[in-house]
Formats: sequence, C-alpha cells, structure tokens
Amino acid sequence: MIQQFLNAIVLGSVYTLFSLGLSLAWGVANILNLAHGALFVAGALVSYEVARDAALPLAVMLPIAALAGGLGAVVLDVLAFTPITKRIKNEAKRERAIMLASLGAAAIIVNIANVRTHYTVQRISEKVYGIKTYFFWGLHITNIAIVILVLTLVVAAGLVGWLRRSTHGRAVRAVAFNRELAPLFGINATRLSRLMLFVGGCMAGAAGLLLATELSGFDPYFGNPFMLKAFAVVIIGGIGSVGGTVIAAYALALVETYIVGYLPSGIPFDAVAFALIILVLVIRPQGIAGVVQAERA
Amino acid sequence: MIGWWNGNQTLVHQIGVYAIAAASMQIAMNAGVFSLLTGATWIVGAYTAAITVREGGNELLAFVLAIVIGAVSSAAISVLTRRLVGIGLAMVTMSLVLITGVILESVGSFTGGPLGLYGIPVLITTRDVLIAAGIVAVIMTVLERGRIGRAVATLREDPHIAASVGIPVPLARHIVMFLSGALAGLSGALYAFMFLTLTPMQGGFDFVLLLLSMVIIGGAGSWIGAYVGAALLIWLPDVSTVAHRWDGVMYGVILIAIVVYAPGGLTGIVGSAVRKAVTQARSIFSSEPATTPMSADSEA
Repeated sequence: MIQQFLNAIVLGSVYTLFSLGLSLAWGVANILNLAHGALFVAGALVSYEVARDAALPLAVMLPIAALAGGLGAVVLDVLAFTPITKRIKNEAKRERAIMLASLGAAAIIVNIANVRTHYTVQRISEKVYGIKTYFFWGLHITNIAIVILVLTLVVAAGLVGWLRRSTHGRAVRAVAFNRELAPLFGINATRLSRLMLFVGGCMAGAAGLLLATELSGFDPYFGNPFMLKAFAVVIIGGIGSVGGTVIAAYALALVETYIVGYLPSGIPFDAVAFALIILVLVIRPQGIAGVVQAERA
Repeated sequence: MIGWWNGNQTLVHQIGVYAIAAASMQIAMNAGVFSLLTGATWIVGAYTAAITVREGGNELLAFVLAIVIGAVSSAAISVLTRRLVGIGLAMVTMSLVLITGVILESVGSFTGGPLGLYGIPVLITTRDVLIAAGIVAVIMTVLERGRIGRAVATLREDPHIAASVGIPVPLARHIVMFLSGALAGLSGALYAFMFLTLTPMQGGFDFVLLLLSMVIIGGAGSWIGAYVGAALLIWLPDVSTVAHRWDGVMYGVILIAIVVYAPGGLTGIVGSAVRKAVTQARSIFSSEPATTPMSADSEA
C-alpha cells in the first residue's frame, strides 16, 4: 500500500514537470501549446542521439534534454506564435491559429522522431546511467525516480519563489493578469511569453529524458497520453497557477493509482483524466479562471 | 485515362473518403465551432458499418446506421458541450476522440479489442464513393449559399451578433454538429468497406491532424477547400516516397505557413487572385477607377 503511494508520488511528479510548462504558457501568454507533448519527445530523442555516441553522466544529460525542449519551444515561438499574435487581432482566431500551428509543430517533431528511431521503441543507452533500485523499509525505488522527485520539488519551489519575489516573476504575473495593460508599465510581454515557453519547454524536455529512462524506452508517441493528463491537471488546478498545478498533478496521480482496483475490468485508468476534463469543462466551464470562456448565448 | 483509372482506383477512393471526412470537419469550423469530434464519429461510423454487416445486415442498413449514429452522437455531444467555445471545446472534443479509441480497444470481442476488425467484405466500388462525394458536394453548396450560408457566416464571425439578428445560435450549432457527424459516419462506412480492416486508434490524433491540415491548407471557408486539401494531402505522399517518409514534416510546415501567412488557405489565395484579376479587368474596360471588393475570405 505504501509502495503504491510512493509510485503515485513519482507519477505525480512527472505530471507536475510536464503540466507546469503547459499551464504557464497558457496562463501567461494565452498560448495553448499542443506541441508540448512533442517537446517531451524531443528531450528523449536528443538524449538518445547524444547517448549513442558519448557516455555522459545524468548531470550532463539532463541539461541537454532540457535545452532540447526549451529551444524547441523558442523556435516555435519565433517562427509561429509571435507572428500569429502580431497578425491576428481577433482573440478567438488567434487562439485557434496558435493551436493549429502548434499541432503542425508536433507533427514535424513526431515525424523526425519516427524516422530517427526507425518507427520502433528505442532505449537510451545504458552506458550513461544504469538503473539502480534501492530497498528500504520494504519499499523499492529507482535512482531515476529519486531524481524525478527531487527535480520536481526544486523546480516547483523555485518557480513559486521566482514568480512571487523577483522583478521578472512579478512582471510575468502582470502579463498573465492583463496582457494589454502590462506594456504600459514597461513590461515586454512578447519576451516574457518567450521566457515562459522556454522554461516550460525545458521542463518538458527534462521530463522526457527522465521518463524514457524510468520506463526503459520511448517511442515518438509516448508524449500523447501525457497531453491528456496535462489538460486535466491544468483545468483542475487552474490555468497558470503553479500551486494549483502541483496539487492537481499529485491528486490525479493518486486517484489514478488507487482507483485502478475499483474500475470494472477493461476500463483503463486513462479514463479518469478524461472524465475529470469532461466534468469540469462541461459542468463548470466558468470555474476555469476565465481563460476558457463559457458561451452565454 | 482508362489505364490510369485502373491503376489508381485506391487513390481515388481514398481521396473521396478523406474529402468527405474533411468536409465534416470544415462544416463545423466554418460555423465557428472548433470541434475535433470528427475523429471519434468517423471511427464509430466505420465500426458501426463493419459490425452491422458482420451481424448479418446488408450494406444499405450499414450505411444508414453509420450515418445516423454518427449524426446523433455528434449532436448529443454538441448539446452536452453547448457552453464551450474555442480552446475549451477543442480540448473536450479531442479528449473524446482519444478516449473513443481507448474504449473501442477495451470493450472486447464486440469491437475486436486492440486488433480491431478485419475481414470486412468489399461492398462498394470507387464509383459509389465518387457518387457519395458528389452528393455531399451538392448539399454543401446549397448550405453555403443564400440565407443559410449568410447565417452560418454570421455565426462564425460573431455569435453575439448572430443571436441579436435572430439566429437561434445553440440550435444552429447543434444542427451543424449533426450534419458534421452524418458526414463523418458516411466517410467511415465508405472507408470500412474499401480498406477492410479497422483498428481502434485509427480515428485518433494523427487522423484528426491530417483532417485539420486538409481543411486549413485547402481553405476552411468552403467545402471546396476541404476537397482540394484532401486531394493534395493524399496524392502527394502517394506520388513521392520522400513526401511519404516525411509526411509529418510536410504537413507541419505547410500548416504553419498557411496559418501564419495565408489564413484563407489555397482556395483563399486563388480566390483573392481571381477577384484581383476581375477588378483589374473591369478597370481596364470601364473608365471608372477600380475599387477593391471587400474580401470574403476573412476566415482565419
């Protein structure tokens, strides 16, 4: 039972790492980046390519994977999101154009990953870091799981502190609060959006590497289920809220872990996230921080 | 011509099937309803048709059931999600698409589980597909013209204005989604009876992305865009192995380029070029100065 709890906490940490980036981009820049799952894949793919040629320790690999995700997000912002925001003033049409462009970007990354991995599941070279399993008090946990737990804690705490205390963090919150008004206070909304996309992309990239190692393999589609989970997490936790995202991520992981035994056989626990999305969005769309608008007509 | 026809029947069939599926998505988007539900209703329609025949029904019943179940389920989802717009609607419908595959996979022997359905009999010819695509084109043309067409355009541009001029906005949305589901069911059934195997995830993320690319690249403002996009994106990977290997990159790059620089799609580009040419020709033949007519393809 406690082992299950531990597994759920590790799963929740992966959800947190992955969902935070989506939530921040959505809350701050009003960008729903559907390529976020593909950035996750990009982190795993770049690690796989690097690890094939060079045996590097995890401490070096993790920044590389994070940069792969972060730079991918920045390229996407420069080539698509910023031009779209400049050209399309109608908010509904801008949202839609950004979603479509990010879908296109996802297709590009997944295609490249498919060709590079020869359409099969690949493992990141074990020369880099063998998985070790530790036992204590009758529980077992892998070294990768420990890295996931610690990294998530550090990143989430760091983000909260940064958003609360630093000048930049406060500027980010100002943009999230009112994008039109923020420039009047000398805040460059475009640059801050890009920064948030970069940070989110880094988290997705790092999560991609860690999960590919923990699951001992990845394929170009392994980001897809996490997109569904991240939607649920972001919607339940409140768009753009770091604390809400963290709580929702762990709550979802716990519910998923413990409900499996009670579901009728054949119904996968993925259905939980789906049911939550439907429940929140259909029954209380107005409860979602005003970003997803409800139609009154 | 006969030789080409015999060699490329599958290609023509495929284009017809995807053109109708793309039209299913286009009809919703053109009314300002950003629904991705077509992926779900399409695979449900395909499964319905295949299972009907397996259980002893004839092909007419299979088509009717596929269309009706597609249309009714689509309208039901529309009623359930009536308060959602924009990203929220897209997310809920995408979740429904993803979960439909999971459900089909886990229901068991009725849907064939993860292996899906195979050994579906060939019950239609390419001619039938072309007739179906033709009928759909005629219906779509009628819907895009006159009162209905103008009402749909108003709905797309601003639901509040639409409501203020007496268009029953929620009802109109349900009708649009009903039609969209019917087209998806039809397309799914046509697919099942020609390609003979179905797998649960076929209507998933990649399928939705392909249809969206078709609609956006062709131009979301008219069914013609959906048909042009379908023909282009099915034909290109077929003639070029490079395009086949790199299809995702190709769709992705074109999609981003169109979304950023030509929101009207290919038909939008051609349309505005034609209008420009007509205006110039008029100005040459008349002494009056040329006036640029207001662009009709404001769809972004």
